Amino acid sequence: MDLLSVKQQSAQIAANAPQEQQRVQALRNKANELLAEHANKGAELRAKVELAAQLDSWLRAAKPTDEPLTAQFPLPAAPGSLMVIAADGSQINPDRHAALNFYLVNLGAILMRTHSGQAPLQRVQSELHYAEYSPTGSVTQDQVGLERDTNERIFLASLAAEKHDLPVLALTDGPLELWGSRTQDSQEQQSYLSALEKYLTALQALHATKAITAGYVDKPRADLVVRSLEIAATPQEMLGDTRKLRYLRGVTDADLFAFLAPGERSALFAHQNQLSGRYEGPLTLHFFYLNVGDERSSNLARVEVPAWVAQNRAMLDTLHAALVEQCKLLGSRPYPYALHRAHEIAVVSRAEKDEITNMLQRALEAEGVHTGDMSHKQALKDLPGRGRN
Amino acid sequence: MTDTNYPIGRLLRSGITGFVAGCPIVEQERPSFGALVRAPLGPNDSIYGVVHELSILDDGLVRQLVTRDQPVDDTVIADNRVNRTVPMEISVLAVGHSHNGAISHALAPRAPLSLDAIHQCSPEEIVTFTNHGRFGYLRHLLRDTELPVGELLAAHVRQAAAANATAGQPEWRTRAAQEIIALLRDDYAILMQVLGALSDVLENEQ
Repeated sequence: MDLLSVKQQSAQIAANAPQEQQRVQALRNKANELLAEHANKGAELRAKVELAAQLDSWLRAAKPTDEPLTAQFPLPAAPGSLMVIAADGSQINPDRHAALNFYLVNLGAILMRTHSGQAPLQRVQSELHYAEYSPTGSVTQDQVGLERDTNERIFLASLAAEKHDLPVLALTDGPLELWGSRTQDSQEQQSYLSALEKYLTALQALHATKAITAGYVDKPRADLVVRSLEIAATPQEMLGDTRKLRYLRGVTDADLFAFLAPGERSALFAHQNQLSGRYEGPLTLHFFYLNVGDERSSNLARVEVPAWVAQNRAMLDTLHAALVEQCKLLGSRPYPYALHRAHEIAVVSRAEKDEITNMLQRALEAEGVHTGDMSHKQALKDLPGRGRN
Repeated sequence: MTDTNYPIGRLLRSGITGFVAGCPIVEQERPSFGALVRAPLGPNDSIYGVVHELSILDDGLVRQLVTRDQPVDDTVIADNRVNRTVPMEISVLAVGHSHNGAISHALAPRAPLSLDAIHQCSPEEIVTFTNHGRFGYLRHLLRDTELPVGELLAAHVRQAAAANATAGQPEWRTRAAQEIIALLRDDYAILMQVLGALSDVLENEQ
């Protein structure tokens, strides 16, 4: 690395930073003015967002609900005992330089009876795939990621459907919406839509169990509400160009809701995006912002919920209070304890990856299957010598 | 002292002079400081040792949990003690071995293997081991100047004396004390330290 050059570039970035900060702050002020101006014009803004979406089907934005845009909902009373179920996934990606063509999807979950003093239950589900191909060729990292996300939510739904004698709070890390490739490639599009169908079935199963389910987004960088405010400021005749007219680029929703006090949640919003129609009725995706920090340090998270939770105030209050409680368990780094533990259970370490590789290699060789060698490139990278960080 | 012969954990690392086992923290009531334990050395042999250190390990999450300015939730405590990685290490000083059932107070010819189950010795095993020869195993407890020798000997003698008394040998305690005095006769400072610890324990047992 040319450290001298990087040092000079760092100094230049730092010299420009105050000016850039002032520019973004001015945009934040403008966004806050727009938010205040439209605080009680939710229905009007919702209609305008829907109109813009008709003109541009790729638009991603937030649709206001009946709650005022600047609403602040204080922390509800502490929830009673709950069965908090959190699931997370990790994977070993296929690697064309490795000796074996395999990948692994590992799911971890924890089931916590809050305030019980009982040790939570842990569940793990590991699926090994060897020498598999997708319809478009080799299995890609994106496809493994999609499989992991889909299976993680199906796993969560199956755990929530078990017999529990307490109200169930089912959590995943990240958006509730299923992410995946939305390219024009029909094969890839087809596999995404197939995964989405499975996921929607899992969401319906969660709905049937009356579980309070949510996706938790830590350190959100989204600007869905900001984009709606941009639409609010766009003349009617230019709505078709909304995606090009980014007056407030650089401002995030978290900037916008920085006024939330510790424990408070924002108003609810519904998702407007290309796939909104797929999540219909009780599955319609909503979100709100939540300050899980304390007086010393504000900490905003975005919480995504389906309509069956968003429209049930008791469920929403339970979720709100339970998330703050879960975050407080981790002290100065607020994040839901159950989600952190699910991650710990799911994660596959480098040592475990090596162990799985050796296990599979021995099993194949025992059956007389030649497994090949890793690429020369990889072998050279693995040579001992100058360490890499 | 308990009267069962049970596994207390599994071996993490080992050497000829001692070994370290890991076990869940919920098991912390067993074994205790000074207890005689045993690890396998193949199908017919064992290595014996005395527990000289029990340490609770931490990790990033445990450290994070203690940053709270409020009490830690009981469910979280149970989760960390029962479900999470090995949080307690038991360090053992090797004091002898057995080969085909024959006890020796010399160091074992090899070390136990990782993940071997470590057992707390039953009272019968303690009586057999501590009555072999003339207390030769005690020299191992005296050789490491880093150890709290007085406290370790006192804790061990208390537990072994109880097993021997139950087996009809109440005089074992006196014989053990005399042997310790003999072993330390040239080291007055350590002898006083050991006798002080021994008398504290043994008087409380009267």
